[in-house]
Amino acid sequence: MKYALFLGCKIPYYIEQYDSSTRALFDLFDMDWVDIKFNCCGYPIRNLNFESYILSAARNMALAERKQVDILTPCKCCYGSFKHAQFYLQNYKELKDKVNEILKKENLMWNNHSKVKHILTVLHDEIGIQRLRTKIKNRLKTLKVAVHYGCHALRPSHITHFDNPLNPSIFEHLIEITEAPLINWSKKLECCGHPIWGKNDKLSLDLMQKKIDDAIQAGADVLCTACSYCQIQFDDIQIQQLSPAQTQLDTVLVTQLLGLSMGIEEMQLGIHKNKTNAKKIYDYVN
Amino acid sequence: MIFTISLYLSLGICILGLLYRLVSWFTLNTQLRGTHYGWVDRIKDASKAVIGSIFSVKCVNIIKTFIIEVVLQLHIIKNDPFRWIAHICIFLGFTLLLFMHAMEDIVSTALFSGYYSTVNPYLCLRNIFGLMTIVGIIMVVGRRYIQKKPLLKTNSRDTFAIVLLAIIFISGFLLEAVKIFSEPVFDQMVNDYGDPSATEDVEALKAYWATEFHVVFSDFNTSNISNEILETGKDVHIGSCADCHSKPTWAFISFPISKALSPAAPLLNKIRMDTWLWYIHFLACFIGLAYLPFSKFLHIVTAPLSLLIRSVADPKPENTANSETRRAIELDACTHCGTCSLNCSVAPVYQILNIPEILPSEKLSATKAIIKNQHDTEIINPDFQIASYVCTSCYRCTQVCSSGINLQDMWLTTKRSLHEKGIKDPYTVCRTTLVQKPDEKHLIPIDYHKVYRRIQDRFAYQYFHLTLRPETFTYCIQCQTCTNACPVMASAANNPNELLVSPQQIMNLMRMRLLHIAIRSPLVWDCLTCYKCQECCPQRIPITDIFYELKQLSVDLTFFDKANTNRLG
Repeated sequence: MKYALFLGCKIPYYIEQYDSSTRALFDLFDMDWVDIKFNCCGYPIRNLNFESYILSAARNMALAERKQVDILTPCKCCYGSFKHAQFYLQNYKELKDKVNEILKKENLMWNNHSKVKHILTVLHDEIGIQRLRTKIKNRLKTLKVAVHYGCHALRPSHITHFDNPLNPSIFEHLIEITEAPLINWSKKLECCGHPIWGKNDKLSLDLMQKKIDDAIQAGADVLCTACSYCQIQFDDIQIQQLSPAQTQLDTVLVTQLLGLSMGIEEMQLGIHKNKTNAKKIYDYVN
Repeated sequence: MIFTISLYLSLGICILGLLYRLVSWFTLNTQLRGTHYGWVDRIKDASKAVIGSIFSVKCVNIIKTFIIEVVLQLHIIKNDPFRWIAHICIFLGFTLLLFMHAMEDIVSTALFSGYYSTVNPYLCLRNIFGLMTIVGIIMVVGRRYIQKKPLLKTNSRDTFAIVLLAIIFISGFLLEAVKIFSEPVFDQMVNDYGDPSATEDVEALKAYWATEFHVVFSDFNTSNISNEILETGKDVHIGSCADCHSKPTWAFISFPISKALSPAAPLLNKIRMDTWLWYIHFLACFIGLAYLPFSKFLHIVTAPLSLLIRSVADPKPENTANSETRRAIELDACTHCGTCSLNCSVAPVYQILNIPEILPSEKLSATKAIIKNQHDTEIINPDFQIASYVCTSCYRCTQVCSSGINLQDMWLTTKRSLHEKGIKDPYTVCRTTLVQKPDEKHLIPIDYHKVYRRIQDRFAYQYFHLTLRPETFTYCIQCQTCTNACPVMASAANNPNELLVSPQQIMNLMRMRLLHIAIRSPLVWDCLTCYKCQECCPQRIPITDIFYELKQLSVDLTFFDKANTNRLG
C-alpha cells in the first residue's frame, strides 16, 4: 500500500496526535508513506474566493500526480474539498485549462490521475475488516462509543462517494472490531458546528451542545471522530467554552481508539494530548 | 587618515545602532494593542530565563543548537540544500576573512607568529575564502534573479546587501590583482624596506620581480635581462623580500585577473588604481559595518540569538513578557530568505489574489512596519487584513524558518490584536455590512450589469453563473424539504427572536431575481455548508453551492474590487 498522507492545516499544530497515531496505525499494515510538501486543501478559503480554493486543491492533487501516488487524508473537510474540486475540474474544461496554466509554472499538471481517499475508506475497503481484526490485542467491551461521521465526507453524496449519506455504516464496522458497543443516536449525521466557529459562535456552540446532549442521552461514554475540525470542535472548543462542570463528552480520534485496541504505545497515540479526558478509555481495556 | 576616521565613524554608528536595537527588544510593543509589558518586567523576566536556561539541563540544548544550527546550519539542508551550500560558502568565507584578513592586526598577528598577508598559506587562503564567498554570492544571485521563483520575493534591501557584498569581494580581488603588477607599490616597498640609493641592486631587484613576481615597470624591458642581473636580483630578493612574499601565482584568483589586466598595467599604475580600489574596498566594508544594525546583515547577531531562544523556549508560548521580547528580537532576525513563502500552505491563494502580504516573508515585513508605526490603525490596510485571516495557522512557516522565528506565535498574536481592534476577518466584515446593518448607508449596491461584466473577466465565471443562471434554481418546487433538513433553521426555531429567511425562501428570492436581497439573508452567512439541504433536495438544486457563491460574490465585491472605496466595510 502506498499513499501520500495529506494532513491539512490543523493537524501539525493543533492535533499532532492525529498525525502520529495515523502513522502508527498504518505502520502495522505495512503502509509506504510518500512524503509530499502539500499546501492547504482550499477548504478555509472556499467561503471567500472560488479560484483560490480550486487552485489550492488542484495543486495538491497535481503534486501527488507527479509522484504517481494517491492521497489519503484523515480530515473530512479536506476530503470533501478535494472531491468538490475534482468535480468542478472534471466538468468544466475551461476551469481545468486555467488551473493547469497556473500550475504549469511549477511543471505541475492536474489530470485527475490521483485518487483522494479518506482514512476510514482506506481502513475499511483496502485493509479490510478481516485484516484489521487480526491485529486486535485489547478489547473495549464496555466502552460505549458514539461515532461522529462529519458532513463533508458524507454529502453531497454524488460528489463525495463516501458512503450511504442517509445511513452510513463504515465507521461502525471499524469500531465494532474493538468489540466496543456502539450507541445509536439521532444526531449522528448532524454538523459539529465548527464551520461557523469564529463567525457565529453562539450558533456553533448551540449545535455542538445539542449533539453532546443527544449522545449522552443515548448513553455514550466517548465520542469518536475522524475529522480534524470535528475533533477540534468537540475537544478544544468544548473545553475552552464550556466550564469543566459542563464538559460532558470526552472525545477520541478513530486512530487512537483503533490504535489502543491494537496495542500501539501511548507515545504514538497521544491520547493524553486530547484536551478532554480521553485517557479514561484506558480504564475500559480488558 | 580617511581610513581611521571612517573606521571609527562606522564602528560608532554600528555600536549606537546595535544599542538602539537592544533597547527596542525590551520596549517594542509587539502586540499591536494598547497594553503590553513594560521594559522593567521584560528585562527582569529575560534575565531570569537566560540564567535559568544556562544553569540547567537546557544548556545541553543551547550547545547542541549552537553547533548544529548556528555554526553548521544543518537545519537549512532539509528544506533547501542549494541554499545551504550558498549560505555556508558566504558564511565561512566571510567569517574567516573577517578574522584572518580584516582584523589581521588583532587576530592573525596575535595567533600566528609569522603572519604576513603576502606569504603562504595566508595568501592562498585569502583567495580560497574569497572564492567561497563569490561562489555563494553567485548562487544567491542565481536563486533570486535568474531562477525567479514566483513565490520568492526580492526587495531593495536584499539587492543592496548582495550588491554591497559583491563590491567588497570584487574590489578585494581587483585590488590584489592590481597590486601584483603595481610599480608604485614596488617603489614604496623599496623605500620602506630597502635602500633606494643602491641603484644597481634596485635595478637587479626590478628585473627579478618583473620576471618572477610579474610587476610591470614602465621603463623596463623584460626581454633582454641577463641571467647575471637576475642572479643579483635574486640575492637582493632573498635578503630583503623573500621572508614576506610568496609567489603571486599562489593568489590563484587574483593572479589570472592581474595577467588579464597587465596590458593596461602602465596606465593603471600611473593613475594609482591600487589606491582607488583600496578606498572602494575599505569604504564598502565600513558602509556595511555602519549599515549592519539597520539591514538584513543584522541577522548575524539576531538569527543565532533567535535559534538559541527557540532551543529552550516553549513552542506554544503563553503571552508573557518573555514572548513579547522574543517577538521583538524575531522581527529583527528575519533574513528575508523566503523559505517560509516557498513553503506557505496558502501560497496558491496569493497566486490568485496577488496580495503579497499573504506570503509570510512579506507579512512579517508588513507586521514590522505596523509595529514600528505604533500600531496606527490607518496603516493596517485591507490587504494586511485579508492576508492575516487567509493564514490557516498551519505551522509550516515556523517549522521551516532558517532563523528559528516562531511565526505561528506572531500570526496568532497579530490576528488576536486585529480582532480586538475591530479589524475583523473578511467574512465577518461582509456579514456585518450585509446582514447586521441593512440600512441604505451600508448597503453594497449590487448592480446586475456590473456583476455580469466582472464575472466575465474572472476565470471562474462559469460558477458564478450558478447564482445568475436561472436553470440552477428555477426548478425549485418550494417543498420545504431543505428548510426541514437545515440544522441552522432548527436551531433558530427554538429562538423566536431570530427569524430566518429559509433556504427555500432564498431560492424563491433567486427565482424572482432578487439576488441583492438573497445575499443579505442571515442564513447565507450562518450556513454550515453541511450540505443536508442539497442532499435532500428532490429537484437536485445545489443550494449550498449557491450559498457559497453568494458569499464569494459579496467578498469579491467588498474586498477585491479595487474600484470599491468601501473596502474595509
